[in-house]
Amino acid sequence: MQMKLLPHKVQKPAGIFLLVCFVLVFPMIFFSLVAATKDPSSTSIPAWIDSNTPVLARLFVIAFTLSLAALLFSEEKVEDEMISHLRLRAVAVSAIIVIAFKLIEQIVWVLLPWDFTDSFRDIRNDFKGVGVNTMIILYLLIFKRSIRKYSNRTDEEQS
Amino acid sequence: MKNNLKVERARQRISQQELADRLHVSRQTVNAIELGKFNPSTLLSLKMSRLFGIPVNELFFLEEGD
Repeated sequence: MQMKLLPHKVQKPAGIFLLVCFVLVFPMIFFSLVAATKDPSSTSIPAWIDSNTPVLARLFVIAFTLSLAALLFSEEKVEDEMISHLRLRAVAVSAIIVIAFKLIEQIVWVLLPWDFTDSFRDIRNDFKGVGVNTMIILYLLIFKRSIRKYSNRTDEEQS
Repeated sequence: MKNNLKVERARQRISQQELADRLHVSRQTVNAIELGKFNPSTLLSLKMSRLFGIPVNELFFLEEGD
Protein backbone atom coordinates (compact mmCIF):
# COMPACT_ATOMS: atom_id res chain seq x y z
CA MET A 1 0.00 0.00 0.00
CA GLN A 2 1.56 3.26 -1.16
CA MET A 3 1.15 6.05 1.38
CA LYS A 4 0.45 9.49 -0.03
CA LEU A 5 2.96 11.96 1.46
CA LEU A 6 3.17 15.74 1.53
CA PRO A 7 5.37 17.42 -1.12
CA HIS A 8 9.07 17.82 -0.37
CA LYS A 9 8.87 21.63 -0.28
CA VAL A 10 7.01 21.65 3.08
CA GLN A 11 10.18 20.37 4.79
CA LYS A 12 12.01 23.69 4.56
CA PRO A 13 9.51 25.93 6.44
CA ALA A 14 8.79 23.16 8.95
CA GLY A 15 12.51 22.60 9.54
CA ILE A 16 13.17 26.32 9.97
CA PHE A 17 10.35 26.64 12.50
CA LEU A 18 11.63 23.67 14.53
CA LEU A 19 15.15 25.10 14.43
CA VAL A 20 13.80 28.39 15.81
CA CYS A 21 12.00 26.40 18.54
CA PHE A 22 15.11 24.59 19.65
CA VAL A 23 17.45 27.57 19.37
CA LEU A 24 15.21 30.33 20.76
CA VAL A 25 11.98 29.19 22.34
CA PHE A 26 13.04 26.20 24.45
CA PRO A 27 16.07 27.97 25.96
CA MET A 28 13.80 30.96 26.70
CA ILE A 29 11.32 28.71 28.49
CA PHE A 30 14.14 26.93 30.32
CA PHE A 31 15.80 30.12 31.56
CA SER A 32 12.41 31.59 32.55
CA LEU A 33 11.74 28.49 34.63
CA VAL A 34 15.18 28.70 36.22
CA ALA A 35 14.60 32.38 37.06
CA ALA A 36 11.16 31.56 38.48
CA THR A 37 12.54 28.80 40.74
CA LYS A 38 15.26 31.11 42.07
CA ASP A 39 12.87 33.98 42.79
CA PRO A 40 9.18 33.11 42.37
CA SER A 41 8.12 36.74 42.76
CA SER A 42 10.12 37.94 39.79
CA THR A 43 9.56 37.07 36.17
CA SER A 44 11.87 37.40 33.22
CA ILE A 45 8.95 36.94 30.81
CA PRO A 46 7.70 40.23 29.32
CA ALA A 47 4.29 41.30 30.64
CA TRP A 48 2.49 40.88 27.30
CA ILE A 49 3.75 37.33 26.89
CA ASP A 50 2.98 36.51 30.52
CA SER A 51 -0.64 37.70 30.25
CA ASN A 52 -1.23 35.85 26.98
CA THR A 53 0.72 32.73 27.91
CA PRO A 54 -2.17 30.24 27.74
CA VAL A 55 -3.08 31.38 24.18
CA LEU A 56 0.55 31.63 23.05
CA ALA A 57 1.35 28.27 24.61
CA ARG A 58 -1.54 26.62 22.77
CA LEU A 59 -0.57 28.25 19.47
CA PHE A 60 3.02 27.22 19.99
CA VAL A 61 2.11 23.60 20.73
CA ILE A 62 -0.13 23.45 17.64
CA ALA A 63 2.59 24.97 15.42
CA PHE A 64 5.25 22.67 16.89
CA THR A 65 3.07 19.59 16.38
CA LEU A 66 2.16 20.58 12.81
CA SER A 67 5.84 21.17 11.97
CA LEU A 68 6.80 17.75 13.31
CA ALA A 69 3.94 16.18 11.37
CA ALA A 70 4.97 18.02 8.17
CA LEU A 71 8.53 16.70 8.46
CA LEU A 72 7.28 13.23 9.34
CA PHE A 73 4.81 12.89 6.48
CA SER A 74 6.64 14.65 3.64
CA GLU A 75 8.46 13.12 0.70
CA GLU A 76 12.18 13.14 0.12
CA LYS A 77 13.59 14.55 -3.14
CA VAL A 78 13.62 11.06 -4.67
CA GLU A 79 11.33 8.43 -3.18
CA ASP A 80 12.55 4.93 -3.97
CA GLU A 81 12.83 1.60 -2.20
CA MET A 82 16.04 2.48 -0.39
CA ILE A 83 14.38 5.55 1.13
CA SER A 84 11.45 3.36 2.22
CA HIS A 85 13.91 0.91 3.75
CA LEU A 86 15.74 3.70 5.63
CA ARG A 87 12.39 5.10 6.79
CA LEU A 88 11.27 1.77 8.23
CA ARG A 89 14.63 1.22 9.92
CA ALA A 90 14.47 4.68 11.51
CA VAL A 91 10.95 3.95 12.82
CA ALA A 92 12.10 0.64 14.32
CA VAL A 93 15.20 2.10 15.99
CA SER A 94 13.39 5.12 17.45
CA ALA A 95 10.54 2.91 18.71
CA ILE A 96 13.01 0.56 20.41
CA ILE A 97 14.82 3.47 22.09
CA VAL A 98 11.58 4.98 23.44
CA ILE A 99 10.25 1.57 24.56
CA ALA A 100 13.54 0.85 26.35
CA PHE A 101 13.35 4.23 28.05
CA LYS A 102 9.76 3.60 29.18
CA LEU A 103 10.65 0.12 30.49
CA ILE A 104 13.57 1.49 32.50
CA GLU A 105 11.31 4.26 33.80
CA GLN A 106 8.78 1.65 34.98
CA ILE A 107 11.46 -0.34 36.81
CA VAL A 108 12.93 2.77 38.43
CA TRP A 109 9.40 3.85 39.46
CA VAL A 110 8.84 0.54 41.23
CA LEU A 111 12.27 0.45 42.90
CA LEU A 112 12.22 4.03 44.22
CA PRO A 113 11.73 4.43 47.97
CA TRP A 114 8.33 5.83 48.92
CA ASP A 115 9.58 9.24 50.05
CA PHE A 116 10.96 9.96 46.57
CA THR A 117 7.81 8.76 44.84
CA ASP A 118 5.96 12.10 44.91
CA SER A 119 8.90 14.02 43.41
CA PHE A 120 9.36 11.41 40.73
CA ARG A 121 5.65 11.44 39.97
CA ASP A 122 5.86 15.21 39.35
CA ILE A 123 8.81 14.76 37.01
CA ARG A 124 6.99 11.94 35.25
CA ASN A 125 3.89 14.10 34.77
CA ASP A 126 6.00 16.89 33.30
CA PHE A 127 7.33 14.48 30.68
CA LYS A 128 4.00 12.86 29.80
CA GLY A 129 4.31 13.79 26.14
CA VAL A 130 7.89 12.65 25.88
CA GLY A 131 7.06 9.31 24.31
CA VAL A 132 5.51 10.40 21.01
CA ASN A 133 7.42 13.64 20.44
CA THR A 134 10.72 12.04 21.42
CA MET A 135 10.08 9.15 19.07
CA ILE A 136 9.27 11.49 16.18
CA ILE A 137 12.38 13.63 16.77
CA LEU A 138 14.56 10.50 17.13
CA TYR A 139 13.05 9.06 13.94
CA LEU A 140 13.77 12.30 12.01
CA LEU A 141 17.36 12.47 13.31
CA ILE A 142 18.07 8.82 12.46
CA PHE A 143 16.36 8.99 9.07
CA LYS A 144 18.03 12.23 7.94
CA ARG A 145 21.42 11.01 9.17
CA SER A 146 21.05 7.78 7.18
CA ILE A 147 20.21 9.70 4.02
CA ARG A 148 23.14 12.08 4.55
CA LYS A 149 25.47 9.13 5.14
CA TYR A 150 24.50 7.57 1.79
CA SER A 151 24.74 10.94 0.00
CA ASN A 152 28.23 11.56 1.40
CA ARG A 153 29.30 8.06 0.38
CA THR A 154 28.02 8.68 -3.15
CA ASP A 155 29.87 12.01 -3.35
CA GLU A 156 33.10 10.33 -2.18
CA GLU A 157 32.72 7.64 -4.81
CA GLN A 158 32.24 10.28 -7.49
CA SER A 159 35.33 12.31 -6.57
CA MET B 1 25.53 -10.78 -1.04
CA LYS B 2 27.90 -9.68 -3.80
CA ASN B 3 27.10 -8.28 -7.21
CA ASN B 4 28.53 -7.59 -10.63
CA LEU B 5 26.69 -4.35 -11.09
CA LYS B 6 29.74 -2.13 -11.48
CA VAL B 7 31.30 -4.52 -13.99
CA GLU B 8 28.12 -4.77 -16.07
CA ARG B 9 27.66 -1.03 -15.92
CA ALA B 10 31.22 -0.47 -17.17
CA ARG B 11 30.76 -3.10 -19.88
CA GLN B 12 27.72 -1.30 -21.22
CA ARG B 13 29.25 2.15 -20.58
CA ILE B 14 26.39 3.37 -18.40
CA SER B 15 26.97 5.88 -15.62
CA GLN B 16 25.40 5.49 -12.17
CA GLN B 17 23.08 8.42 -12.85
CA GLU B 18 21.96 6.96 -16.16
CA LEU B 19 21.31 3.59 -14.63
CA ALA B 20 19.39 5.24 -11.78
CA ASP B 21 17.25 7.18 -14.26
CA ARG B 22 16.42 4.05 -16.23
CA LEU B 23 15.49 2.15 -13.06
CA HIS B 24 13.58 5.12 -11.55
CA VAL B 25 15.69 5.14 -8.40
CA SER B 26 18.21 7.62 -6.99
CA ARG B 27 21.93 7.52 -7.76
CA GLN B 28 22.52 6.93 -4.04
CA THR B 29 20.52 3.70 -4.32
CA VAL B 30 22.60 2.44 -7.27
CA ASN B 31 25.79 3.32 -5.42
CA ALA B 32 24.60 1.61 -2.24
CA ILE B 33 23.75 -1.56 -4.19
CA GLU B 34 27.16 -1.59 -5.90
CA LEU B 35 28.92 -1.23 -2.57
CA GLY B 36 26.82 -4.01 -1.06
CA LYS B 37 25.31 -1.66 1.51
CA PHE B 38 21.76 -2.21 0.29
CA ASN B 39 20.06 -5.30 -1.13
CA PRO B 40 17.58 -4.46 -3.89
CA SER B 41 14.08 -5.88 -3.95
CA THR B 42 13.14 -8.69 -6.31
CA LEU B 43 11.42 -6.21 -8.59
CA LEU B 44 14.47 -3.96 -8.85
CA SER B 45 16.77 -6.96 -9.38
CA LEU B 46 14.59 -8.19 -12.23
CA LYS B 47 14.55 -4.74 -13.80
CA MET B 48 18.36 -4.63 -13.65
CA SER B 49 18.54 -8.12 -15.14
CA ARG B 50 16.29 -7.11 -18.03
CA LEU B 51 18.18 -3.87 -18.59
CA PHE B 52 21.58 -5.61 -18.75
CA GLY B 53 20.20 -8.61 -20.62
CA ILE B 54 21.65 -11.18 -18.22
CA PRO B 55 20.01 -13.52 -15.65
CA VAL B 56 19.61 -12.28 -12.09
CA ASN B 57 21.94 -14.94 -10.69
CA GLU B 58 24.72 -13.64 -12.93
CA LEU B 59 24.25 -10.22 -11.44
CA PHE B 60 23.91 -11.15 -7.74
CA PHE B 61 25.68 -13.94 -5.80
CA LEU B 62 25.48 -15.33 -2.32
CA GLU B 63 28.61 -15.03 -0.19
CA GLU B 64 30.15 -17.73 2.05
CA GLY B 65 28.44 -16.54 5.22
CA ASP B 66 24.97 -16.04 3.64
